[in-house]
Amino acid sequence: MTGQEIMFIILALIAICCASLVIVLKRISHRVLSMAFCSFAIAGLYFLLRAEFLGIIQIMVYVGGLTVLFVFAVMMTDHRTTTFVPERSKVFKFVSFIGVGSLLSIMLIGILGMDLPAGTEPFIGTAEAIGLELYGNYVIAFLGVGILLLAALIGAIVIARKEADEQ
Amino acid sequence: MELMPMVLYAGVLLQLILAGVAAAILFERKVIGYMQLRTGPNRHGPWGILQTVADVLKLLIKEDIIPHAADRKVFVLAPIIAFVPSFAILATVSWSENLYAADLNIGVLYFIGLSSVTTLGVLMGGWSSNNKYALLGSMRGVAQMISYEIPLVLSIVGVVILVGSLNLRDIVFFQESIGLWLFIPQFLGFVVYMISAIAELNRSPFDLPEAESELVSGYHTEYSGFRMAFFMLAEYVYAIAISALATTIFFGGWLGPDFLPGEFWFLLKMCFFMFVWFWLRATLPRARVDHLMNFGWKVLIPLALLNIVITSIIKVWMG
Repeated sequence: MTGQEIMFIILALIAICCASLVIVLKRISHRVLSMAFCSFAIAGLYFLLRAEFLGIIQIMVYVGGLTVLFVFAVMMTDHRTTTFVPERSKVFKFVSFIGVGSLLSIMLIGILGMDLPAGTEPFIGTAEAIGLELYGNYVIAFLGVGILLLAALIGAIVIARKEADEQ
Repeated sequence: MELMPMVLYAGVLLQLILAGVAAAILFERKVIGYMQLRTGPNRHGPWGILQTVADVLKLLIKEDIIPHAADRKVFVLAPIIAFVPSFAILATVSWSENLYAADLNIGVLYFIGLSSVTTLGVLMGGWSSNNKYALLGSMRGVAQMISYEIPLVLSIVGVVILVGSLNLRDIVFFQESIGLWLFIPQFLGFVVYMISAIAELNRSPFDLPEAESELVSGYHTEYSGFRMAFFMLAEYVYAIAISALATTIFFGGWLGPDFLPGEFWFLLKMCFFMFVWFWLRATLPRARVDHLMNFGWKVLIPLALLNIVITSIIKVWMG
């Protein structure tokens, strides 16, 4: 086993463990923290694949941005009494188990049946290549995403304003 | 680099950084002392050299107190989350032409991206303490760090446009090739960088997260002993790292007259930046929180954007 494979297994285990801890843990602050560690492990996987740019963006957006946003949202709301939903019935659990199981099996069949040709030259995802693609080929899609995010931001502000005015 | 030299490099760097932080704290107290017409620490060793060592020893052997109402796991983890990124970002710093750890082609981005993780540590520390002052301090700290990270990054973008590379070593080589340190063509960017760097570091006059007159000690109010030392360590290592970044991108890194090695020039320039942080702390009163936010969003960000526009126009015009 090469060092790369060992690192992959360690990082993958951390990612999976932290992802399940997000569901298992009781306190919401611990959940947010384990989500941050999950993102860290995934960034590590990107680094292992030589996609350095993507790895850093993963850390910046998910750990530095999203997790802090989550913590703020949790802090602003009353988190002690929060339960997501009332206890579900047995039938509901059974149906959701079957649904998740079939989704997993379909994905596994798809992934295992996929035939990816092995690249001959090692690919390094440089920031320059990504920038040229993003602002060259996909510039309209990029602008579209920007407008969508702006609309979502303004919508969030309008909703928050309305609630603040009513109080 | 191979694995063994890499580990060795990291270990030696950690020791040197710890010694550097101790020296920086002594330097800070001496500088502020002389500026206020007193001698500063002078009892422990000649010229007070052992003062910081004594302080660190005191912090290390102090009783470790975790408040009863604190969220224990997060409380323990927070100082580590705050410290680790501040040390990890030093991997891309190139101390001289031959002495560096990682020649990363996205060095600038790595630096900025990892340092944003410190925010999480501050937030977790303040929140898990279960103390109103700690919570207020950490919220202020995070609001300030997030707001001032934007002008900090935007001020570097001007340099990146000029050089055409995110690699910190390429930035220095570019300055060598044009024979000019980049703080002259990028003066606006340099000024924005300096101001937002001080706010990023939570140093005076922007040390609102730990304003002792209103918040006791900010987000680390409940921390004592070596956990508190960890927060202080993170703060000072971060100050060193930001000075190193400023040296690299604006002051020509290791470039200097040939009669002394590159490391010396690098450290000299870094000390200059450290001196600027201490100088400002001794001379300026603390800003008010709303002024700070207004200044960041309404003055610094537009200035940084203006710098990017001007730099792009010049770059396209010159070809």
